[in-house]
Amino acid sequence: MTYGPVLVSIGLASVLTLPTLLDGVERKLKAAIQSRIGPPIHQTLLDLTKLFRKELVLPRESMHTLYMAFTYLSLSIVAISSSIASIALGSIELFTASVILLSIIQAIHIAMPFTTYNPFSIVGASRELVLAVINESALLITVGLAILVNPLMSPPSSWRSTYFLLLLELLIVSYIASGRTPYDIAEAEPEIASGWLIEFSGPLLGVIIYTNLLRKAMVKLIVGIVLAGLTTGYGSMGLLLSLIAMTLLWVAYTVASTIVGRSRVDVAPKTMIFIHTTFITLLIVTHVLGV
Amino acid sequence: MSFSDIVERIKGVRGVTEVVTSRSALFITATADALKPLAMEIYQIMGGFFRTCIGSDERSINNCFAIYYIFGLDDRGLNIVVKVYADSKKPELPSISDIVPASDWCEMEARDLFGIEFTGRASYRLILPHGWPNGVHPLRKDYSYDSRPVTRAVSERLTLVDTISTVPIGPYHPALHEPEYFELYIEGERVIDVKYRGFHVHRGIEKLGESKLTYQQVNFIAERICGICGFEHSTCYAQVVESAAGIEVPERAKFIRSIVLEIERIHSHLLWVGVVAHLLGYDAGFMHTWRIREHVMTLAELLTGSRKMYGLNLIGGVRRDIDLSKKEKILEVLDTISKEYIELASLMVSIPQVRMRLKGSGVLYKEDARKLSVVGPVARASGLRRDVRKDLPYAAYRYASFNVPVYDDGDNFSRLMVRLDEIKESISIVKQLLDQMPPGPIKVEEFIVPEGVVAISAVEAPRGEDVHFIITGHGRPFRWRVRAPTYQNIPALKHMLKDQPLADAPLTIASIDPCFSCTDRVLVIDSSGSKRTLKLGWGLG
Repeated sequence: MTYGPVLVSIGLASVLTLPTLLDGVERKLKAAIQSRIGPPIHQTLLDLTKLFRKELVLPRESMHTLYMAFTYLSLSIVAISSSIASIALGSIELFTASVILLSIIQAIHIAMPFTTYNPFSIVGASRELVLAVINESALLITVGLAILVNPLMSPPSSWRSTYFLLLLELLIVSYIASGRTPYDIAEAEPEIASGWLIEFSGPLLGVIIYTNLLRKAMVKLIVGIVLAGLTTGYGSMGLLLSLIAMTLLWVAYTVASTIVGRSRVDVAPKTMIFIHTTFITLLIVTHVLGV
Repeated sequence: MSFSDIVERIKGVRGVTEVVTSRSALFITATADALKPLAMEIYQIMGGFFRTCIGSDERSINNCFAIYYIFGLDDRGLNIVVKVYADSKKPELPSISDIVPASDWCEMEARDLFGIEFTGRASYRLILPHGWPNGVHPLRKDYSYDSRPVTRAVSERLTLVDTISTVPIGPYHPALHEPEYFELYIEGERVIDVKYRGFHVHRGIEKLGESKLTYQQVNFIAERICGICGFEHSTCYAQVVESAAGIEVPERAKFIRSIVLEIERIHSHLLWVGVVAHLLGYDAGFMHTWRIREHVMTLAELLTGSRKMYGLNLIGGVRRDIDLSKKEKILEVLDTISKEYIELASLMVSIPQVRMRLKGSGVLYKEDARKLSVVGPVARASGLRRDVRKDLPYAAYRYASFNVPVYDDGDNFSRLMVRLDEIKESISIVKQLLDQMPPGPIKVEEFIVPEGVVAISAVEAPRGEDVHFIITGHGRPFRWRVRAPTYQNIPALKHMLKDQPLADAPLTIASIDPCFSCTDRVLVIDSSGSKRTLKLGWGLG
């Protein structure tokens, strides 16, 4: 375990840099599906660089936004570090902490637009709130069940239906949390312009975009960590598998989101409740029955 | 009801002073008192539709203002034009908006631009900005086209109710591609009311046509009314002058016009389908629709020399012919479009989110559609079988066999389906017309446009019927009025948006395929030339 800090450092460096490139891959892949050329893969990096070079403009009558944005960024880095450390070191406590932190980050993500006085931001944030309450609850329950069925983060002797269901439910939760169609209603619906992002610009927008990418990476990493825990176990192999899973999921989610349309704000929560309730019930039943 | 019955019934209305009949129109002159009974007779009893009304400053001719109301008995292929004079000192007429709700806007337009007041209704400023001085009416003949009145900037706050959340959409907004302003009043995520403020762009096209340009030049500015369906406007304008002047356009030119009109319909509908896919978050559909549309743009360039703004129409015909090599290329491209489009359309309507969001949203019931005399795909999606190509055939449409798709649900999905079906019909029409195209000249070289003739023309544009009205003048129109389809369809949005989720608002607004450059076409301007005396008479429109 002496090489633990090295592993964590490598993993952390990867998760802090990979999302910007994976976002570029996403844009390129979408373009290919849509029969376009698309921007270069490092375009997101270029965008962020440009935003950070611009002057700082804060939303009118709000200094809180700036503090919240940096809290958002700092906590995201802590959360993602914690999740990397959990799989590298095999710490279920760190894993739990990272998932709880993710929920706190999600709360900040929703609260930030309320610091502005823009009706589009507020409508967007309200929509995000509705989705988040359902999805975050499902995430916490599912992760709790994951810890229950595999508390040592080590491969089980034999595979049960519970594990498949667990992974499937985690996939759904992480897909929705990544804010893609059909669940991108908080920021992408045209009537609310850019939704909760509308008041942000320059470096502040850069911070928020980058932090969002980290959040998107983390929701996929959680699936990777649980998968690694069930297959390779923790350590270097587990970390490698988690990172690969995160990358592959990013690509798979991109393809899935390209071929569907956007749901509606009154329909999306109902479908989410139905899906999550069904999967969590099945998970509990199979776990209790031991199948 | 036979044609003679219609004439007799109209003659029987007290106050009707003159009835002139022509092949496709009935021109009525009546006193102001007869206006409401006539509106009741034509609109309510005969079941006519309302096309528009047109104010006119005829003080130089007969010392009066006049207003022309155009009704259409679509099933009979007949236009009915009712002309009423208004006093030059105190122009005032009874409003018919209580009987014909669709006349609301055009009456207010005549009030803004000519100063004709309408009694028995609430008046408001529709066209002119709020900072425009009172008593200045830019389409009056004594108002010079280059006058610039002193205006003051006035903030227009439409919101009247502070207890309800307001979501402004426009005048500049990512979901809107032209300046327009909708104010949505919402409770939770549900729209409970909506207010619209348009007419942000004043280009002075009508005034320019009446003041500075010649008959042929107006053709080219008419095409610039719209960046998407400009050819419909130039065709409609050419037809209205040809009708007034009694010009027999060569058959070959009519075929060429119809072919290009259908190509314009295909690219316009494909553009719209792409926009809707984008609004639904289905960007793959958006990109692929526009990729297919690109073939159509290439086709337009092949036929006319330009992707848009073809400059093809002239009064009396067209400027470019279609030769055999072009015909083969057109057929080849149409086959490609047909194959790719059918595949994409069936994929698109099978996407669950697309179906779910379009079905049952933005409903316009048939009775409201009829009440507001909506046009084009909006009317056909609400169960009204209205299509000028069938009702008042023009150009070469009488030689083509095609269906008019009609759906009854009145929702956004029906409007999508109407347009998807129409693309197939348009492809078929182009193929049929190419096969039957007769040889011969493509334009009339010499013609004379007599003065003082009134005529109307309608063309089925992708968004619905364009209506052009003209009173001929010396070398240029004395009065030229354009009524774009969006002008007729926007008032229906209030019905379509009410009690709908906010999330569907942009989709519903887009579902009428609004074109604000067409709608905001009017205003300011004229020459200070000497007055001429015209003897106005009814034409053959």
